[in-house]
Amino acid sequence: MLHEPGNQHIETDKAAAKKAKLGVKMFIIYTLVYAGFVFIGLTKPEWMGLRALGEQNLAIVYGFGLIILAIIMGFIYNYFCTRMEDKLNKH
Amino acid sequence: MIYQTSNLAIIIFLFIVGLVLGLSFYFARKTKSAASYYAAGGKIHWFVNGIAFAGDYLSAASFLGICGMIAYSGYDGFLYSIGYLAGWVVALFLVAEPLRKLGKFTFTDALDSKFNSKSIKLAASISTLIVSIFYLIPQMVGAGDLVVPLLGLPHWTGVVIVGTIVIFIVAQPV
Repeated sequence: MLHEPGNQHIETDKAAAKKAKLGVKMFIIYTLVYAGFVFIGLTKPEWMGLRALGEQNLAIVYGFGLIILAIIMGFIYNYFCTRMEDKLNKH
Repeated sequence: MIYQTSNLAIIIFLFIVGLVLGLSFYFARKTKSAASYYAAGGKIHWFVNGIAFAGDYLSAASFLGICGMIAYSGYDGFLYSIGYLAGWVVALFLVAEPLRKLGKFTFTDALDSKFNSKSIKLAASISTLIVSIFYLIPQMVGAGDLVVPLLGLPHWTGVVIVGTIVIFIVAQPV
């Protein structure tokens, strides 16, 4: 194997620009939700101890919510990207 | 705490190490280009690729570091695991698609293809090495910590054994 810069032949993907744009939008959505978590932690840390769902406090619900949201958004991103590729690269 | 050497643990450890080395030798022979080295020529099934990604994330830092931090610091330790997922979101939404579009596998290659500047390439290479060193140190410490109770060997032995195995797997001639 040569130690040259990695390069691969990519077939023209007409959906690439739209996928990148969708990625940026979804990133902004996640960042806003994440920023809310950080903001509460910085300014009103006592809120984190409040009960939010059943016996669980806001810190646990929001924290696990962020983890689950990332996974769900990954699935959504994959779904829309696949649909765009199928639609725009048909011919 | 004093740990005793367990023959069974050593056999299992050697079996797993042998299996990993065997697999890496087998697939290294099939590796002919940078594309096959980094992404197996794009021929890996999505499910297998997903397991490989999970393997990347389940490092010593996540297995030992996060568990230990939650044990010692409670909720404050748990916050770090959210940071992992935030990093994954950045990689998925912002980095993956542009990198794929460029046909590159590393950040340095992508920057080089865009700017064609030796200084940028040098800066990216140095920062990659610095980040890798600070990532490797806790991984190696974690490996040493695992070897002490599992095999009953001194900490430094674990660091040397695991470090040697990893170097051997990654740098073996093709």
